[in-house]
Amino acid sequence: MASLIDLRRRIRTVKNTQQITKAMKMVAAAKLRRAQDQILATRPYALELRKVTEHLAAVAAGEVEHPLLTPHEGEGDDKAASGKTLVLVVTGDKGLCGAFNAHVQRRTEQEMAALNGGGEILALGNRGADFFTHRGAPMRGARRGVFKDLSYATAQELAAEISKAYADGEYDAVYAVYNEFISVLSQRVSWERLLPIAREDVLGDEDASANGHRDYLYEPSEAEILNELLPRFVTFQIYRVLLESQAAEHAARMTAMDSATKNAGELIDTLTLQYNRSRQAEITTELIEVVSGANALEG
Amino acid sequence: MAGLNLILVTHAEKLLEIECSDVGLPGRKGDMGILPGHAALISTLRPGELSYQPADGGARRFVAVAPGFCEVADDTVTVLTETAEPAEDIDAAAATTERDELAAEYARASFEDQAGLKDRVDTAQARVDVASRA
Repeated sequence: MASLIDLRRRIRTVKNTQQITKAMKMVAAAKLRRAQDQILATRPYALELRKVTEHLAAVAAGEVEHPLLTPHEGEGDDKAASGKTLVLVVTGDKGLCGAFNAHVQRRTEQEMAALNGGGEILALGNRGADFFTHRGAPMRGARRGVFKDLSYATAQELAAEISKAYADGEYDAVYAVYNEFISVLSQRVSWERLLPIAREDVLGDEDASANGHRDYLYEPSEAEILNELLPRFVTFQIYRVLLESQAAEHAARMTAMDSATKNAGELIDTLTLQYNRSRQAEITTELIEVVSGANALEG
Repeated sequence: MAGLNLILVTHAEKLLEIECSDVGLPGRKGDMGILPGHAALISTLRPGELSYQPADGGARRFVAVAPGFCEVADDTVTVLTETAEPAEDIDAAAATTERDELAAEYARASFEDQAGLKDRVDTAQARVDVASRA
């Protein structure tokens, strides 16, 4: 059996760890709240954006052509298919958040295998960047530290780069793999197409929107409005993906740290029990020694 | 006469929801004045100055907006933009410095890069203009 000093030392170590995990949990909870607020704050914009695009759908859906809407099929004067797909992998900058990063990495590897070497990764977040660089996966690039100071500007810059690469015909499609924030206790890995924009996504269900059709004046023209709208739509999608992932990461970390704290508590209980038993045993042994010593002197 | 309802949203927040008697918008093709009873309209906005007259009286208010969209329907003006700042919230000196820096960057940039910078320069200019209204 471990000596008393060893046990005491172990209890102290576990207690220290527990304090750290408890603090991390609290920090994650605070950050989660902020991340959730950020998501909620985007709702009005998302709603209005959808409304405007749906109105446009009724009048312009059929005739609108935009590079971000057009799939590359290699037919007619469409851009030839390059056979390449860009995968935007969104992971966290840090670990200690359960299977959060591992899930995304695993899903990415599956999808990359399905793409048969036609995939290229753009990793967002340190964990994904390190993981795929290490594995020698085909990379377009990596952005580190995006979540340190997540802003709309980050999404704008990314959207500009991706849209340009797509419009230039470098890629046939752009997908995002990220953790979707469902609730504090659950995150779901999501595989979502960003480009080409699905007509139904941006323009809504044509029939449905035609019902609420109203005679709008368009200034400048429907097509020009869509030209301005689509890039913003992509930017907003990317921003949303980043926010979701951020909230999911904090939620995952909070849950992971909560169970770590609980486990540490259990370990402390077990060790304390063991410690008390050993202490008792030692006292008993000493008592027996004293008593038998006294007995020997008397006898 | 019925008033106009102005709703101003950015990707980060719903900045304004207010009753007003008229709204001035910086349209892509020129400034627009919206009065109650305006026909349904969807338009793009250039970076510039949005102004409105609150229905409960008081001074006319000014907001610097980045490029975006507006929808007018049923006496409701909905403005979607990436950033929006009321005149009172803009630090005039900082805005001027930012504008000068961006303008210098714009002057140095190649022709292709200038297209991307144009909106940012215009937004910075709009902030300077609006700040002077405070």
